[in-house]
Amino acid sequence: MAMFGQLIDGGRTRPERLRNRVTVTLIAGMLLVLIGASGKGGPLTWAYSVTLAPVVSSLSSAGRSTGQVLGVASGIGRLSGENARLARENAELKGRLAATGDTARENADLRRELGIKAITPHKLIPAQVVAYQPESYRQFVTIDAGRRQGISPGMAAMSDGVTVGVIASAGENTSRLQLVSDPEFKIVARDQDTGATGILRGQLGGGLSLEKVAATDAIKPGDAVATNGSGPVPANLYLGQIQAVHERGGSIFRSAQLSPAAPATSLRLVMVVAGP
Amino acid sequence: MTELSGLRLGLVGLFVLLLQIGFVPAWRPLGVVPDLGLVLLVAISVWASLSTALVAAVALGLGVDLASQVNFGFHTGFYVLLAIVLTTVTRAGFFIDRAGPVVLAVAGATLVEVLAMLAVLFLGGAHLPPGAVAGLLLRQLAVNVVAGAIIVPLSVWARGTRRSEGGAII
Repeated sequence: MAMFGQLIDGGRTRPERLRNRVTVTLIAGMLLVLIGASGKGGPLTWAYSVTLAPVVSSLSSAGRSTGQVLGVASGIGRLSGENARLARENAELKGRLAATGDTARENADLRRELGIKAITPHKLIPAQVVAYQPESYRQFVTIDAGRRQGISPGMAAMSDGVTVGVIASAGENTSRLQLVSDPEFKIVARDQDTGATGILRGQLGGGLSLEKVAATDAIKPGDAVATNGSGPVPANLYLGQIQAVHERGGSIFRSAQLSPAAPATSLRLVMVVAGP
Repeated sequence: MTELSGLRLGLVGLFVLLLQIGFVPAWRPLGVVPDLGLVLLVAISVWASLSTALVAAVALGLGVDLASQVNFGFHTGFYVLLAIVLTTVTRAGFFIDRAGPVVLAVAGATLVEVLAMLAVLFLGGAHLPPGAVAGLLLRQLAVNVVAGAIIVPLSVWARGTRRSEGGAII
């Protein structure tokens, strides 16, 4: 405070009320930050949700449209290449689908013969993305479903068949979703092709890496990686595909780089996996 | 030294805050979110009194922190420190009454903010590949400087009557 006093005085005559204004502003700011950081910012959060949040939702929609219009205008050449890549992927997926169909029929026959009940599909809660993170470093989005709709922290969320994140906090009618690309995101994951397990981590810039995979376990580029099943997150939710494997001589672990996560701004509708 | 008109400053501040937490995060030019609050605060700190800059810093910082809800207090704390440092530097005569140096100050403040946030993330155990860090830093600098070139003239409009020519920075 003495430092601020010197800054304010500066050897000139200063009205006392102005000095008080600086002090009051600083103290009020510190108190509000402490209240918010301690997780007891109920009134602050409530004030935000009734005043700014509705406007933010509308502005987010406008911002997303602006980004898409400008993106299309500047990316026509890129779209052509992407179209060719998607056509190749489509052909490959058709092949996989045919194989999956055979496997599903075989599984159904075996279950019938063994008297095993069919696996119940997960209950999914649809939600729309209404706001994005107002900074470049962290990757969170706000969705328009909360505890009232059956959402609770720790549940996974998917979009287009890919796991996009985990619910970080749930309010009455909105929730915060931590995306897999957040640099502090971590989840236990499994290589679906070899069964090797590791920790999937988000990276600054949207990358994903699979770490702490035992050097004795096999992983290779092209393998599909899915959740291993922990807490409210069920197993076998698709996370991504391994692009490159990194090994360090002498280390008992190896790591892998996965295909980058979809950018947060491409998310509109997510399905929260609420369990069986 | 001129003083900012309270009403105009409030309007510009609210407009910039809404853009910051609603519009630009969904757009993400160059894949980053321009820090419009920082840009406006630099302009205010250079042209207004310490008390006005502090009020703006707390209001803008809390607005962004409430919308962000992670690393709560980072923006408020950084904006308050920025306001104090810049008003002190202004009193020492480093800034002249023009937009150019203010945009330079925006670049400097952006650099410090990115490094501070990266330090916070690093201490939290986040994964920060060097290539991604460098890319983010450059893109954030570029986007904030462009935003500065747009917002600084807005803050010029917000400047009102001359109230304390050569006087107090309170």
